[in-house]
Amino acid sequence: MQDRIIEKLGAYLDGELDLRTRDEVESHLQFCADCRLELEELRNLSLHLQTTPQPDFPTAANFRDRVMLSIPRNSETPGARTNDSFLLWLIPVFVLVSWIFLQVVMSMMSAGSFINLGGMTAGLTGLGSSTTQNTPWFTLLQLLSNGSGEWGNLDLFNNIGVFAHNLLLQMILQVAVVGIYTGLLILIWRNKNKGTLNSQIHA
Amino acid sequence: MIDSALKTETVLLSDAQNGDRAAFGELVTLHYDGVIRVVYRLCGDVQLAQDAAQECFIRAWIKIAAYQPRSPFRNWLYRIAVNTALDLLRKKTEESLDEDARFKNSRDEQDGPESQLIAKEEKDMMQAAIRALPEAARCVLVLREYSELTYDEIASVLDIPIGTVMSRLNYARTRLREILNISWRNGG
Repeated sequence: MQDRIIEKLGAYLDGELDLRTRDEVESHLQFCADCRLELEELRNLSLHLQTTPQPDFPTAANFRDRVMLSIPRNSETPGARTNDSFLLWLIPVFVLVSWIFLQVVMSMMSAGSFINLGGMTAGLTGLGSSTTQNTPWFTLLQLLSNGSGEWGNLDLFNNIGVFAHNLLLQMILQVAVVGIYTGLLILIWRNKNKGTLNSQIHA
Repeated sequence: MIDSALKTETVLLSDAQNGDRAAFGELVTLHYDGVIRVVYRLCGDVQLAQDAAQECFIRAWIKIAAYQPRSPFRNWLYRIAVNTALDLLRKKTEESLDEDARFKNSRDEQDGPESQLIAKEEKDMMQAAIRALPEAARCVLVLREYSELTYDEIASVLDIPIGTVMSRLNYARTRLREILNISWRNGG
């Protein structure tokens, strides 16, 4: 009981207790000397704190003049900050969308390449494709053998090589597109920020 | 009287938010005493307090367009003051603060009667004791004892629950008494 009352003595001293709790504390103080002593010490501490002198500071007028010389011409307008905050969120969203697009494209290419490896679309691979169907080393081998002979496992390695080559080209293309797009967004954002800062300083 | 002062502040605020620098200057004059008292008690250093007070009003000017009158302007300003004071205090190293204190003490000890020296010692002891409190407890104590904010207002300024205000204040007062008792027993 006493500990519970002691915890409330600070708030009682500050006048922050509700009516019921205040009455409870006052009733307790009537017969508890320890709590009355504790309250008195809290009162003395508060008095001591508040009467501790403060050093001399410049007058309000002098201080105001110094502040007025230091503040920028204009305060921030809430609108500009909102736009910048919105753009900050836009950049990672676009990067994420681009990354998802890249992953989907790569997955579709992988599926298409595996179908090709199985020979299921042998007749269709040349259509609309501007990339070579043979790796350079395989082409050289064919030239040396005058186009004759079965290549067996070498054919498989050639297809894997072609697949990796096409995949690498597509990856580089997609990464370049993402990089250029993100770079443009960052440039736009930086120019916008620079414009806002210049208008604050020079307006 | 109070209503007209409040109305004046409302008009000044509105003008300042529309870019009126003179109106903001009036607000600086109105709230300077309160802000300097808070930052000095938090920092315990005269120069640092002046820097913090100036920085506080600069930040307030930059952000004044975003101030919403949901809570009193004074509370909003004190929040900036507390954050600014703590930021500057953290940047300044303990070593440079001790150097300032030694310089001030050695210079001041040379003049004034004994009673003034004793009063100064007690003042320094009290300020050092406040500085020794953890930041969280110190902020609550300073806002209560030197700005006479209610618990509700302190909770609003520091963005903490009222229960936390009460517990931190209890801790601050208990700890302060322990520190001061040790200091008084050691003769300062």
